[in-house]
Amino acid sequence: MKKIIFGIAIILISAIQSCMTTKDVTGKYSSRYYEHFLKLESDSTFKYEFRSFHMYAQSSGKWLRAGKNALVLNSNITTTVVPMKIAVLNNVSYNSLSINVNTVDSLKSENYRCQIYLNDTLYTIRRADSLSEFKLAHSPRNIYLKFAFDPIVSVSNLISPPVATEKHTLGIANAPRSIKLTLDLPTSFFYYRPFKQEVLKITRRSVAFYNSFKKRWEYVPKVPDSVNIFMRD
Amino acid sequence: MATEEKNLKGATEKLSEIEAKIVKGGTSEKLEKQLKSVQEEISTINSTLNDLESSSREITEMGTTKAQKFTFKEITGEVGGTEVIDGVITMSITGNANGIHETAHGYHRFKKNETTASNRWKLEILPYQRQFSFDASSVKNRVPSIFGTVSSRNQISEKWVSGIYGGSGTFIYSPGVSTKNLREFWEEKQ
Repeated sequence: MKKIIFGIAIILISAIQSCMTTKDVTGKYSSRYYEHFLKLESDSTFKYEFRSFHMYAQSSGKWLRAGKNALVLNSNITTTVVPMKIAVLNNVSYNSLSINVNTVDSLKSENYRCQIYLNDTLYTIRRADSLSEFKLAHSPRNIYLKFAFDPIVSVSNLISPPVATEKHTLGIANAPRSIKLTLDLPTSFFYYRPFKQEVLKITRRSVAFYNSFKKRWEYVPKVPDSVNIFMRD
Repeated sequence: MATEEKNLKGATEKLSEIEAKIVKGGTSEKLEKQLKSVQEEISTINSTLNDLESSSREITEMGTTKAQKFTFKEITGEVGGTEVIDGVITMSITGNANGIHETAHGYHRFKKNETTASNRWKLEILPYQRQFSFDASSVKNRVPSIFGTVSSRNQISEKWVSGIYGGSGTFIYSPGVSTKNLREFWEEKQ
């Protein structure tokens, strides 16, 4: 009987202590299979890799505690949505679309494939250096683009998540118009996973990311510091 | 490999038995069906053996060549990747089955057959076939594709690869493409 009372007392004391102290969450976390690989440093910085088969993205930035059971990630780049400039010319004889993609010299636009979405429907996929002019049967009400990194000369079998532009709403056209889009495509947006006020749950031996596709929390166990969790150090 | 060789021996004996029955008593629908089934089994085992032998031969060549530097890096998770970093073909692997997969990529990068990303679907067929031959369950149960589960290495095709998706629902080898568009693409091809 004494042993049982002693045992209960120990459990109670541990429980009270754990409520009073904030658990140290620094260290490495690794999904058993896919997708999250995270290192929380003691200086409040983090490094992260997303790996799903050969799809790969990385991130880095700052983390902070949000109470006892949560933390928040903010990456150095908080969005990879590409801004677009749009110019519409009226008084033209036919509907058309032309897109001018600017990239840094080392990675020319031919290294990207552009998916053009008109009225939320895929219109065509082209290399991003061949987007000079499309004659359209109808002028679109809205337009956005998605870019996939598809290099002419590849040095890796890792695949970047696609990078999308903002969506432009144009409204209904009563007469033909010519749409000209101009955008700068930052190389740094590819292979990158942005976090903006991303809340992670903290449990005893893991952190959890919310999977909005599956609508559930995915627990990522803590692993020893000696384990190599990153593909690109 | 020993298991596959034993299976091949058993299937070959079975084939001889069926052929002997046909010679002796003539053929029948049942015997023809059995014959076809055993022939398919032998073909599958031969493909598996060929995959394993090729993997072994390529790993040996990669280990002995002085023309190219290779390195393996062991990481956590399920799938790694293969990259050329400062001229060194670096294969990040998570275990033996993934090691076989990435080694196939590494070897083909060495042989300059993997220099463009445009034919990604094709480039993944052989590595997944090798992985399947080494450990079928690592592909059957762990690689989801909207075009179904593969039950043999010969079912690993461009179409199947194109439909592989991750935990967030995105197509890995068809980034940004919707399910509808991918299905339409293959319907138009047929």
